[in-house]
Amino acid sequence: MSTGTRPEGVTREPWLLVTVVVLSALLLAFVLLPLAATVAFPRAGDWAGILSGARYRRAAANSLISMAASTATATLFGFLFAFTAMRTTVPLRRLFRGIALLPLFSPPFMVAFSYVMMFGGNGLITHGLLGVRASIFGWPGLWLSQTISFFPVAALIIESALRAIPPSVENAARNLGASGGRLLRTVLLPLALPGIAGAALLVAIQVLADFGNPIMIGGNFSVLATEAWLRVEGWGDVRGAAVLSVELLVPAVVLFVVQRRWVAAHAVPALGTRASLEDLPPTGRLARAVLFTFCLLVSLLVLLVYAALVMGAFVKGWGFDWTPTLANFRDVVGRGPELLRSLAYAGVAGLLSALLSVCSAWLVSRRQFAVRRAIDLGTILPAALPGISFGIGYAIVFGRPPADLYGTAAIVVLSLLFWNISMGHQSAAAALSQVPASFGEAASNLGASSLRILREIEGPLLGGTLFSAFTVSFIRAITTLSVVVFLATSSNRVATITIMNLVTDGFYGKAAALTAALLACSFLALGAARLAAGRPVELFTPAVRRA
Amino acid sequence: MKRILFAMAAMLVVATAVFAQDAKKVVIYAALDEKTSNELAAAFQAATGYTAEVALQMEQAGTVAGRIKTEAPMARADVVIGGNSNFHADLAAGGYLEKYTSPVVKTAGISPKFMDPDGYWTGWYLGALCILYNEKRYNDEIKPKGIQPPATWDDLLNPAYKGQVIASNPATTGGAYLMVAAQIFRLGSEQAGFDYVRKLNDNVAQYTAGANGSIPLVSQGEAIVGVAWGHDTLKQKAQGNLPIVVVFPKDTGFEIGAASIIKNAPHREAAQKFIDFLLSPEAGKINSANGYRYPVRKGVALPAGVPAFESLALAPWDLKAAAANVDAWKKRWAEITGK
Amino acid sequence: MSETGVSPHVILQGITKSFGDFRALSGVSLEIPRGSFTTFLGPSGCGKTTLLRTIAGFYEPDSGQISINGRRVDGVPSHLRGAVMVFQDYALFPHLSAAENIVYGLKVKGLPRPERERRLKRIADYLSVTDLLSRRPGLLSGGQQQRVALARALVMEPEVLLLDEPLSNLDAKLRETVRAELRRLQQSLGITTIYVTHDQTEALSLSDQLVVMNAGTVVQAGPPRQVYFAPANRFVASFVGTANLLSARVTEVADGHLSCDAGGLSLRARRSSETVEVGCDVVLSVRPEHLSLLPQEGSAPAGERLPGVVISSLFEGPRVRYWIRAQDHELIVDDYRRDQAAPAGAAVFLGYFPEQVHVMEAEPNGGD
Repeated sequence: MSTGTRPEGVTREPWLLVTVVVLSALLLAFVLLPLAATVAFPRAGDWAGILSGARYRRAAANSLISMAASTATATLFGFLFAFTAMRTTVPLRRLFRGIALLPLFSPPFMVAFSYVMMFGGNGLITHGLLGVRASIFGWPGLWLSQTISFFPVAALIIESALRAIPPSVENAARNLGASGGRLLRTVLLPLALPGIAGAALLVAIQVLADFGNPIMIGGNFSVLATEAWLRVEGWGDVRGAAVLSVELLVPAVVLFVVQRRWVAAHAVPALGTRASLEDLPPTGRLARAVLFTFCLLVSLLVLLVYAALVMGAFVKGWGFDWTPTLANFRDVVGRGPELLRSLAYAGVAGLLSALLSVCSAWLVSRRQFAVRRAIDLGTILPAALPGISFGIGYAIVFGRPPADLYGTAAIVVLSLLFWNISMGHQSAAAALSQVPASFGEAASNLGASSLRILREIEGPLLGGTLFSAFTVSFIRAITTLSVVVFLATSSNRVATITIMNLVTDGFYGKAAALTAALLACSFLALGAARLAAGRPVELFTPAVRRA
Repeated sequence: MKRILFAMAAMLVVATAVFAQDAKKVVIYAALDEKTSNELAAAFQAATGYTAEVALQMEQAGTVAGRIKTEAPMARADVVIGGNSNFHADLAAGGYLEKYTSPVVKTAGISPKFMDPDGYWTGWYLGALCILYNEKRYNDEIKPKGIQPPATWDDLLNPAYKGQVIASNPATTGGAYLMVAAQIFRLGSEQAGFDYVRKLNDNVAQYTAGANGSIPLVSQGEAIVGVAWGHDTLKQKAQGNLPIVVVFPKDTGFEIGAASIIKNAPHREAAQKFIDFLLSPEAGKINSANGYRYPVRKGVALPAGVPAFESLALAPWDLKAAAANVDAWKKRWAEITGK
Repeated sequence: MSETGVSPHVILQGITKSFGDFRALSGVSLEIPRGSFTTFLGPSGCGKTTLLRTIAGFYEPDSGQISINGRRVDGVPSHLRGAVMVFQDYALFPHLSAAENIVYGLKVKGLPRPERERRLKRIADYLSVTDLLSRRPGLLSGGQQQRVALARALVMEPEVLLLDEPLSNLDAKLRETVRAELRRLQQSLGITTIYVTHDQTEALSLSDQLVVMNAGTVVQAGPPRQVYFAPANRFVASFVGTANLLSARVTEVADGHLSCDAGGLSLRARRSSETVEVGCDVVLSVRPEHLSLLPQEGSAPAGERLPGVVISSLFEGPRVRYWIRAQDHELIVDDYRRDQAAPAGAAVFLGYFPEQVHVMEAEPNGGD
């Protein structure tokens, strides 16, 4: 029989026990404590003041409205892109897919920033080309930017849901007479629905927590994340900001719990066969034309983001003085420290986060011990926490004695490390579930200790995961604004903060150049890391080969 | 692994640097731009031989104030410089500051109206609100109607500017609050002041979160006219070659940029020396060259394009009322505008 | 090399193991003779793999004792029990070559390289995997992987070899070859081997001792022939091989034979137990190969033939399998004389020897 395999305990090996204790302490100090502090910090008066303020009630409503609207469109766009890439013969679908993934590598505020340059009252397209003076500031602009920022996430998740549906199922439905819309409605959609809902919930969390887009393009349409920041920026009111961030935290955690439950309840078992396009008949002409047009338009919207950035970086005064210039890049040179800090903090946080998360994932999925569930939860929790809430928690706990890290690199690195730990933990746990437990058992049956199993057997098999965990953490860390906005001072300010200040001051050219430089740096760093992580295992020649 | 260790070591070095203490030195928290802060520190060091460390530099006075409050039980810094007097008054009211009146005020003949009546903070520069407008859009859209360029607060009420005014929100920025206070003080009563707010509201396209949010919006042509800090606007105009015109209206609102000694300052004597230094012509010059602000000390050279301080017509000001009514006036403003 | 069945090598006493509410093993006691090939056979969920993993040390029993070679091993870490396991999926480390896989345990043990290489060479020669040593598992066929996995276990020179369905990932043809190889290998090494399978053919052909398990208990343990021809109950009879099971009542006892009535069908059987008397309810088990189609009615005595009608038949090469209705029963008959084929609907007579009808006492619950 195959009654699963039950993990063994940790008490047999002392270092395992130590790891469990250390990991628990770290999670307690750097995840739970800041969270608790955020809730506990405001006084009764702060709660009453904020909760009764019309401005903040409206911000809460706006947060929910933008969440609903942007989640709906982002999920729809994501589905259409995933469907086009996986299930149709639309021309250029692979190119579209590639373009759709671009926003994943960019700072979240970049879309909004570029659209202000393109579609603002003096935007290149709206005013320059069309001669219209329509303002994109406010909810329409925010809706558009959030849709474009977050549909790639939805596309990726829905794509894997579609991939799990073998083409044979679709062909069987065709064989039985279903086609086109009917096939989509009766077979593909019901099967992909859990994936779509899971994607929508994840996008909703991200939209809710979004700080970059509303700060850049929201205008009068204020949301909770930006209001929390403005409380501090304008009036130095950390307690009020904590109230707002708790207001943001509650729905985010609820959504997260629902999402976890939903995904767990509806997990589609991988049916083995990967969907290959060759197995599917060509898509109908009309559907092909419609999907092609749609994907083309959205892809153009995505590319526009980068076009605006590059153009903006090379002109003197966007909107009023189109003289080409390199002055903006001269300014970037002066921002060297910020760029370096961005790279160094994200690099260190990414590495440590990846290592720590692989460690926690291994413990949680391979060993049985008392606080296993708690560690699992503590490691996954940060995924639910909006960056603003997380950052403010750090500002409260680590901004004063006894653990005063204010203004240091450590506070930024630690916040990024633990904010990202869920990413690596989840992907490492998923990867470990693909590695049969029998590998570890076989090794332990042959005498290997846990440490040895992790180092020699399961570790090497997780190499790819480790690298991808690093990549994801690195990108999230280097592009985040919300986590670090409360922690930044002159001595630990990173590039995204400078970019935000430049944009709010109207120095679009400098901001564009600095963003371009940040993107270039992070891609270079990733490329270098990939080279460095190249497969040393392949080069190893076993001694026995000569025997 | 080596990289991680290296980074850890680097972090330690940074942390040690932050914690290191030195007797003959002053630790500064600055709500000023980075360049000004560093140059002031360097100049102080050169003038006195004391070490000056800018331990915290943020443009947002609120954050700096929040910082001082959180670490109050164990003050790390000696002085807080920059940010308008309201932040300092608030800190003083909370018991976070120590009284100090610099002898330089008398010796240099600086007007005592820029000093804290209660003796906590020292005003060392001034900033005034301005009106800015987009030159091209004014010429294209407003001038043909025979309307003169905006020069007074009341000019902003002209229906021609409907939906074309950018102001800022007192809920999120102190500058906007001072703009409201200026109306109350110049018109002589709360009622008249809020009447103005109501009328202006009809023309306002957007209340930005930051006090200077109108600068990019008007420069970009999102709107025709806006209100912002004059010094910031002139500075950005000069740096960014912005297509805007800057006007200081009669009875304009202003902020007193202040400096204070933090309660239980580790280096009290050095802190007093630093406050004295801020009132020197040298400090004034650094500040105005970098930030386009007016030093309270007369006779300091200003950057090109900045009108002489004497040419400004400030609104009659009641510092006490301005500090006492923050919550009430913000609330009233929110009721009127619904923002 | 030790003799089969001399002294017990592995002794299990009252092993109980639960996972939450699920009781996987309840009070299993068993002796495994030194040098024997013992097979745990049963349907999925019967506890056979749990029992094997408990012996290997991946699970600790909730209660009960395990001894190997006279030494208590419950509570002893897996690798110190002298029991090495070959996994169902082989669990070959995919990032190591075959050679690295095989010497892994020796390396962990800290054996010097020359000793490792010597042992590697010997086991590789023995299992004919010398040519495969430099390859990674991904480049090996199923059968090759299986041999490498076996080599990795045997190179440890274990006291007991544990095999968890090692043939289930091989195709049918290969499985037969490997099965024969495995048996030869075990016999030549004389190593005590415990083997888990749900495949009864495999179990019958390989084992010295066959342990049939169901619902966490041992139902019957004994030599394959005994289990096959004298199943302990309905479950064993139907799980091991194919059996026609007929509920019947004893009508007469004479000359060491019984006469039974199975729903109108009258059968004779050898009396194997003194407790069976007239009026007893029994279950008769008749293997399909013990029934045959008679060429004509008279070629068997009246008490040893059954009338029936052919429902359908399948030609299977060496034999023809018939489904035949006899009174209320549907009987399976394997007929090895292929020269005659009875068409569906044909009335036929089935012949059998009473000695080959196995009598079991009916279980109170009707037993299956």
